[in-house]
Amino acid sequence: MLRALGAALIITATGLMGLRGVWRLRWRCRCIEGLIESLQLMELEICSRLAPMREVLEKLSREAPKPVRGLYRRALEGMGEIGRRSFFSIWGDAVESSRELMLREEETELLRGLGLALGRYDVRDQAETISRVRRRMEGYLMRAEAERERDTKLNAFFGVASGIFAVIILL
Amino acid sequence: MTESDYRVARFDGAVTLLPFNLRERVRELLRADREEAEELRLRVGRPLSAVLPAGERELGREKVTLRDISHLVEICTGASVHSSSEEIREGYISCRGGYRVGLGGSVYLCEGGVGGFHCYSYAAIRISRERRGVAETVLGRLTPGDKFCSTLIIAPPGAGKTTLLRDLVRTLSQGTRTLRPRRVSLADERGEVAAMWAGQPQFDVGPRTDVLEGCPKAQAVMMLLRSMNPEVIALDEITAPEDAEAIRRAQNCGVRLLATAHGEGLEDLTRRPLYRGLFESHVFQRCVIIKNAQGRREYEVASC
Repeated sequence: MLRALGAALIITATGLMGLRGVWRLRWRCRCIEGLIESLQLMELEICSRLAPMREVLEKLSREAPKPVRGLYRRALEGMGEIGRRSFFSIWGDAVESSRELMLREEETELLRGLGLALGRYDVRDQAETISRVRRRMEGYLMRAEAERERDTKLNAFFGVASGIFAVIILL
Repeated sequence: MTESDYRVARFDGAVTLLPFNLRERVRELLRADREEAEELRLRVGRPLSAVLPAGERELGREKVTLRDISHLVEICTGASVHSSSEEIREGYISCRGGYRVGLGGSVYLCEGGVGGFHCYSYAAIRISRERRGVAETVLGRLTPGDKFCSTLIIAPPGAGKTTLLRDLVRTLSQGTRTLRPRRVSLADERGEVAAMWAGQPQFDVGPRTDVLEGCPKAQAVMMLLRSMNPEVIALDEITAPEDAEAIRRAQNCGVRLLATAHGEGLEDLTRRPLYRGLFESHVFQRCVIIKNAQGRREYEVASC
């Protein structure tokens, strides 16, 4: 009886680990989708309304898709340090510390690089930069979705299978 | 807050526009100098300096760098050059608190005009201060029997036209014990009178004043006339025939006018065709001439 219970526990635990992997793949896609959507909103605010960065960040920290609000909130909090630090550094730190977005290194670099243009150039140049970042993010989203498609079943299978394997060995 | 405290606070407010590494240097200024300082000046390769009534004084020995001035621009625009690009093309930035920063350096041209700056090498932070109550000295003669007479303020540059205009706008809008409050519309093309920041005037222009900032004066007068139903329209510096034409139209609609003009006096203006036409059509009934007598401002009111 105890053996059966232990086996069930092991299989459940490894199964949950597999599901966590599945959830992470989905979350990553949602974050990239959120970034793309928020960049579109950012472009509109900057180009159509000429809104100052503080206002843009305030709006995005309230109205951007939930998974990415933290990024904009952190950047907004950093705005108080303008004068001590450059906006590029504030934005870079906000990107770096937004680990919940689960971005890969190249995606983080791309987003960090956006800080070089934000608020520094005229509307047209900023619009071009934001569009370029968005297009590349769309490419990353396609890749993330392909990974999700491919790895979802694999994760679930390996989760359960590794549990069964462990049970067989232990028994 | 005493007048002296207010003047020092305005100076300290201007210091917050400086990058952090430059702020320390300003501490060596005495309170009396902070009270009187008119500008802070940054020039690449030279130390930061303060413009005092006695002249310019360098603060410290450390030289200002290009990076310092770029940083200053970032602070003044709130890291949003795009929001201030029109002003930057004109060579200045309006900042929170009603401060104005003049810029110099290398510009690039675009479509026949200035497109922007390649690099900023010079900056002057102008420390503007309100002088509440200056209008009191002239108000009585501009409002006989509670009627405001259309008025032109005449003075050479830097003599205090904008200061008097701002205080007159505030007083007319607020009213006094003997004067009923009026709806005032302010066409503030260069943003010097109300100094709007984040949608709010940084200087007190009165509770019944509507401000249209950044719009060419002639257009602004017509827009305000159509949309805000003003009793008085105020504008800074009539410089173009279009401004004069818009003023005439406003007068024909029964609106009172309050404006400023560069000049030494009434005779000086009547020699210029732009103003002669305005005087001939009796657009203004009063003019206030500001004179500097031994460092003190004197206000002379005359009928036009």
